Amino acid sequence: MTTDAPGRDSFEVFGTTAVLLVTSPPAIGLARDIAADLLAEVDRACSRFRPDSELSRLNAAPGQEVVVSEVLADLLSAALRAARLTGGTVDPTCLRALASLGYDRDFALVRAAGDMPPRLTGTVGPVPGWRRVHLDRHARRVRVDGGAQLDLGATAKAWAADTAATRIASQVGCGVLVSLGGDVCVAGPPPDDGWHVRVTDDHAAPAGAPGQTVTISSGGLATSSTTVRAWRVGGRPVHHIIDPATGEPARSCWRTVSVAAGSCADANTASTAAIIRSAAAPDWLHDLGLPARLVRHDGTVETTAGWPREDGPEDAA
Amino acid sequence: MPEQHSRGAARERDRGLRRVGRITWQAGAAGVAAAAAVAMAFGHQAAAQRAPERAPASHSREPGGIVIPAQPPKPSSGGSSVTSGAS
Repeated sequence: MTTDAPGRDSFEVFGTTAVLLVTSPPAIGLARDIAADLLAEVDRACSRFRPDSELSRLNAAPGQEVVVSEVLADLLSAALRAARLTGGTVDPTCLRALASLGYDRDFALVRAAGDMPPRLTGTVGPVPGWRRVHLDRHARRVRVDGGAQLDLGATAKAWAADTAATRIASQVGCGVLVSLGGDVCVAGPPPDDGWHVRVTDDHAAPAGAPGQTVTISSGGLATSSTTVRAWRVGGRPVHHIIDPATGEPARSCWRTVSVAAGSCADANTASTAAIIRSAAAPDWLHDLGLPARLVRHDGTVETTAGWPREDGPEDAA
Repeated sequence: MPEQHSRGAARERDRGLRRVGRITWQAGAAGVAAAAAVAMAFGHQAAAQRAPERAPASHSREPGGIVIPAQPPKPSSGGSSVTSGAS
């Protein structure tokens, strides 16, 4: 443990911001190198906006058995684990649904396009489902059936945060916090008073944005929201969290859900599922023992399983 | 006579082999017991020494399920270093 100010670095990655904090400031350069190498590997493996990525090649080979890299095999395992643990609420076979909403390019371009014309006259319908994905993890062989197309956006960033934090703590030997666009994982010995994390709608929000500051000492913390990666199609507001049952953006009573878990991947799985489960989410999170903070569209807050309470609607910093 | 002598030698050899086998088994059993005793003694001592430093473990409510954190987040009155929000 240490009381010194942590070393800090940040850089752009995956169209968002990576933040690294280490309890040993001189180690920040090495920590960045470790993180940057891993994130470049993840991008090559699973970016759906790169035609040369492994995921793009897999999506272009329906029904065929494809041998993939260790990293993509791990990322697919993480995505299928999320689907299994949520009964299919968080499903990686949602690429066609996202593309039908115009989200088939980097989100900066989607945002810049303004109100997009609708591409379909009807709805996409339920997604093909994660059981169409057949992964032999040991042999690194994968086959995707039933016309399913994969998007690993729901889980890849969180998996990368977990893996980067674990590698840095192991190789550098100090406490570390990795945040990838607001998906947070900590590893190694934390500072004496823990890592201070502000939870809010947008990871890029200014310090005074409504939210709550908490401390964590281990595991992961993730936030999902319908308010940030949002755009309009034919005048209709849409967002990127797809309900697999309809193939449409989830209609949730929550605008933002933050969850703490043993890893960032599990926290992200639960926060995404909670948005989709809507009113059923608090009981589900409570039954799993997951501390969570759920924010309604009017700003009122509900918490579960030991998440620290706050008074009234969202406070300002 | 040579035949009787030969049978006697065979009996002696069998007896010797059984004795060696018995001694080997007893020595092996004693070794296992001693190893277990040492492991229990030192294991208990090591566990007792580690216990105060051990952090609460993360676990899931179902085998292989979503893992809950070792501790829930705590309230903070200080400034934050990072923000968890959607991107």
